[in-house]
Amino acid sequence: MRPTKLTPSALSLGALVALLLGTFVPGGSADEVLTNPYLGKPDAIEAGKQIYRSKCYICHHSAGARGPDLFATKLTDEQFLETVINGRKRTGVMPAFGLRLSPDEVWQVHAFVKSTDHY
Amino acid sequence: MKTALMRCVLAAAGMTAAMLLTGPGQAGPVTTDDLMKAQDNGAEWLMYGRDYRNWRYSPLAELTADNVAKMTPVWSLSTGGQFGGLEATPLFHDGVLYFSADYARVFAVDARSGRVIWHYEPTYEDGLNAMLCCGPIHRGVALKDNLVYVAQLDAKLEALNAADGKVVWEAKIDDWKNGVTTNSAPLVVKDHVIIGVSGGEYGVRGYLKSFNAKTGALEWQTYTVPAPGEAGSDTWPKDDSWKTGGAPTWLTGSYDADTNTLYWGTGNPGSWQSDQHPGDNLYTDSTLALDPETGKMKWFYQYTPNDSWDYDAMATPILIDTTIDGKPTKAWAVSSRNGYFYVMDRTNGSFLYALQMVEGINWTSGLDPKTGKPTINTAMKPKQGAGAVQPIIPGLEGGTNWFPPAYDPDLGLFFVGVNQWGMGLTSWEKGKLVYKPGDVFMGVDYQMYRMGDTIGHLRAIDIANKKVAWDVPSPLPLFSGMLVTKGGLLFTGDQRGRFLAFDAKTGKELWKFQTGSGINASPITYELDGKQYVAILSGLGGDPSFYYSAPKGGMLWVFAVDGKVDEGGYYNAQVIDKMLPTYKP
Repeated sequence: MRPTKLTPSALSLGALVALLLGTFVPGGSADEVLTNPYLGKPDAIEAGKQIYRSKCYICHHSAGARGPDLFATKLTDEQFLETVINGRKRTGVMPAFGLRLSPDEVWQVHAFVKSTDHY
Repeated sequence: MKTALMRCVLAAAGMTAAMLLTGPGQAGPVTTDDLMKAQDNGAEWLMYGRDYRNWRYSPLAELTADNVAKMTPVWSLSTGGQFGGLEATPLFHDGVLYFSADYARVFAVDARSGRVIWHYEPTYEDGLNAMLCCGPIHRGVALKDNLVYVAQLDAKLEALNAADGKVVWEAKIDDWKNGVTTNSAPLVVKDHVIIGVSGGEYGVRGYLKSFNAKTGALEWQTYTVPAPGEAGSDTWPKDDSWKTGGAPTWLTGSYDADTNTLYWGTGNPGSWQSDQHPGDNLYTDSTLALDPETGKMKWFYQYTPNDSWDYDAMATPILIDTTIDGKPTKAWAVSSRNGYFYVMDRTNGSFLYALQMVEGINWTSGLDPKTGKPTINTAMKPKQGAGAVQPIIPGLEGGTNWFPPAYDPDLGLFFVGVNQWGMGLTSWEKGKLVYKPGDVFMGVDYQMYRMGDTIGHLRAIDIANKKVAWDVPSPLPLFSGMLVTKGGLLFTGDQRGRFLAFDAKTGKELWKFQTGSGINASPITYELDGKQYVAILSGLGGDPSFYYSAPKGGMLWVFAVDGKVDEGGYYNAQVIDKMLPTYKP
């Protein structure tokens, strides 16, 4: 089954904010921790690979380059989602993809990078 | 305000000194006449390539092989920010240095004291970094009248008041969300502010635009990829590939006032899957000659047809009058990404000769000796879904790249950084690359390779005699611009952070200074209060940072022999009144 594509417009801004904010309360209970629902799912992995090629590869290359090696990421699922959606403003180089990738698409990329050790 | 008062005093003092020691036309607004005569203005550096020919040759001769070893830093300035890499050529006018740092942040610095007079910070929307293939680098600003022109990364052209950095007018060049960004120094010809665009890896359709210097009104736009029915459109298939055809114009061009001709380079076609758009793909990988008043193309020369290898021909054409085979010749010279050095007739775009710069070139079996047209080695053209092609020589980073060369008319030598490296390319399966505005539009996976212990070559080419005069190898790639002076010195930097001076005639290294971070920018020289200074920005970024890790940085360094810096109360640390107010009982 292909994962449902959720665009930011489909997911209301309020819901998206709640989705993201809700996961980062320090000491939040395990019920509130976001995990990738598509891990290990072949359709998601294939879709994630295509997104990786067209948006991530130029900086992250086959196993890290200007950006770190995503295939060796030690970020939690929710940290990965938050980083891609919001970017890393402090270091300034990782762009915010939140207006161009839905959370589902980010999960697909995450499923892809978790499924293999290099592109 | 205290700062304004200090600035007024400084400006008055500067102007008086300037008028005593330098010729007329050097104080106050930059005029068309100033720009047309920039090559004769030894004291100042008024445009990206010093003059419209882009020679980066200075008539200053105080510094020579005999005294350069005594050169020391006079002052330096941290450009702060996020250390995104510095690639600019500073400008110098009326005692002030103007330059852009990463993110197109613009600085105006008083050269007598190193004090920042003003700085301009663009504000960008989220997500812009995704459109910057090669980092948030920026290559410089332009001067005209009382304005400083900067093309921000988000494709907005700003005209800033030279005195205080305030925005006088702004013109939208394009919508950056479509992958069009700008990071080159505009070229100002009379009242035309001419700017090219980046985005060749994002499926843009390239163009040049001219804006009115005083008002910011768009004057003309010339696309570098023809639409169906336009001249050259028969070199593209009869589909929509022209809409994403590339040919970006991402480096500053040149101008010949005698013929009122603009010369500009174009980059690679979009996508990198060249079998997806068969045909020569005009006007990608070409030098164009255009009318600066209308943007109309006069003629073109294409170096690499149906380019599969990212061999952009965006290089600034260096306009040279020389003698070749006994004939006086009006030429332009470029060293190309494709590994060849070309000397061309700039009156009509015809091929004069080429020299192979890179050993083992294999994308072509050679150039036609009459036309320069390459015979393509089709085995080196990746095909969709057909696996890796490697090693291809030169690699996509090129036998040379964007960093500016220099030309010395006394020696007849063209100085350029050449890089010897290769690559592998794997083209995606057919149908997998789908254009989406703002997405990377390449369709090819790539891997650069070292092909030996030596990558960089600092090379001097004798233009008239068609040969290499000298070559200094370097283990790392060279990615910094050149400066050559009448005093016989060649200045450039390297990725290890060394700022270097060479004997221009022999290539002998005469002086070096470790600036603390890789140098990707270009040096300038200027005269202030009778003393010659050399300035360089240091801060690793751009493409070299893909291949070499090193401390990031952002500094402006100024050097001289027995140079002066006037600290007298002027300094960049400004008190934050709320944190440290003066005590009032």
